[in-house]
Amino acid sequence: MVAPMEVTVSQADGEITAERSDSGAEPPEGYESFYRRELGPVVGLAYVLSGSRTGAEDLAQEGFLAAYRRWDRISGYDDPGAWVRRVVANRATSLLRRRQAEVRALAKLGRSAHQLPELSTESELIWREVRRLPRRQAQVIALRYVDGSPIAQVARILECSENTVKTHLLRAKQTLAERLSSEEGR
Amino acid sequence: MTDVEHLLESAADDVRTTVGDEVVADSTSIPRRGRRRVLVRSSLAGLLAVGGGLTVATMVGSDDSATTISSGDGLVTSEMILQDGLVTEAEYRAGAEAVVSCLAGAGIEATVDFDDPNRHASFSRPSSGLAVESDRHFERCLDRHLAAPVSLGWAAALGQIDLERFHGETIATFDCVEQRVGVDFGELVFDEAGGLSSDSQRARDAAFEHDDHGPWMRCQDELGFTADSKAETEAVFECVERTTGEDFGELTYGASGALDDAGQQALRAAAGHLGDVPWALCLEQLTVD
Repeated sequence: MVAPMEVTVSQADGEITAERSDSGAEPPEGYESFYRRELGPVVGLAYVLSGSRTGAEDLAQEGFLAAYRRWDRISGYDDPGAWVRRVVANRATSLLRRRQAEVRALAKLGRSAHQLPELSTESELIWREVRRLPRRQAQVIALRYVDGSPIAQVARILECSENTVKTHLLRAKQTLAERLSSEEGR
Repeated sequence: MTDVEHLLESAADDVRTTVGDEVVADSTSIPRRGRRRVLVRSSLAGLLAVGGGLTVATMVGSDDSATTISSGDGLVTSEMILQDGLVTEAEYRAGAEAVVSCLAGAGIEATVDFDDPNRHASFSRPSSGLAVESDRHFERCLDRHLAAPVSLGWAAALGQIDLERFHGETIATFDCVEQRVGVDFGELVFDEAGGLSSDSQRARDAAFEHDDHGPWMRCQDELGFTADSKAETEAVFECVERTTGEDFGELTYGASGALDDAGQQALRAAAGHLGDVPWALCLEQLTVD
């Protein structure tokens, strides 16, 4: 049995505050199962796109919080997960946004206790190169491989045509092949 | 040639395993956390995400905690750092140290280091479980001593961001979003010092947040503001004109390097011609070429 959750949202002086507790009203129907199912993949997406072991979870949480606040509307979508992925993919590829998430996470949680584990050296190298790609290409790669989304789903998430996704994918892989080959040659 | 497909699959497996082992929606996550407070400051979030000029986001709260961050504490403030419009390393470090002192004044032990390869401050504190109050103090100390414009200014000093160009791109993107969605968000004007009035900040935030950032991001892509996309945009634009036989005008740029009004109009006309079909085909064709 999952404890009920209460969320209070208020705004003052340009500051929006959402507060949750384990007592009070039931969560919107379906949100919790949605959250449980999608949390891991969305954190993975934030992790590879931001490169931040400390900020990735915060970025993902921001996306879920945004979804929660609009849940009445978003729960009616064919694929609420696409909405969260779009928000997180956009935020995770904003340099300053992800830095702020990282700073906040470090201060809030303490550095050592809540970092995601390091990836293997080879994986780190690959994702670092992915993050060097133009933003859309990096997003397409992360959604296609880490999230396992088919082309049509990636197109829905990024709100573009499937042809555009294929183009970004092809171009990204060409660039990665060149860069990783030159890394190997070193 | 490197087998990218295999490498990506393998790297993706590594991420799924790593994150899957670590992230579980249980007592450590939002739905069942005993009590978690999440702060989303709209003005700061917008500023960080879209840039916005060297204004100081003064946020005076009405709650009790605001009084613990007293003025006149002798510490360097964001206003002091931004006085001459430039952020030096000494100022940035002093601001970061002031955040630590500010937290200490509220009884919160914290440290800062500058080991980050991007040369930005990283704060940490022992995990004490006082997340709610610590968050509140941290946000307020950051606002007072190391506000977002200071971080932007420092990023500019390091060459990580070009503020003048940022302003130009912000205005162009803002105009593009207004036209695309047909909403009047208000007036966006940077003052001589590169600052935004609170009205302008609200207008920019509203445009940025509209429809979950979608129009803003699409406009940035279309206008060629994302890295590496400018040359690509011009090539695709020429391709669309060539293949459709249409004359959409010219991609002309203003002093900031952003597309000017005429350039934006031409780009929107080309990108929106017959849906996005010619644009998508040209993009694909140029990749194959």
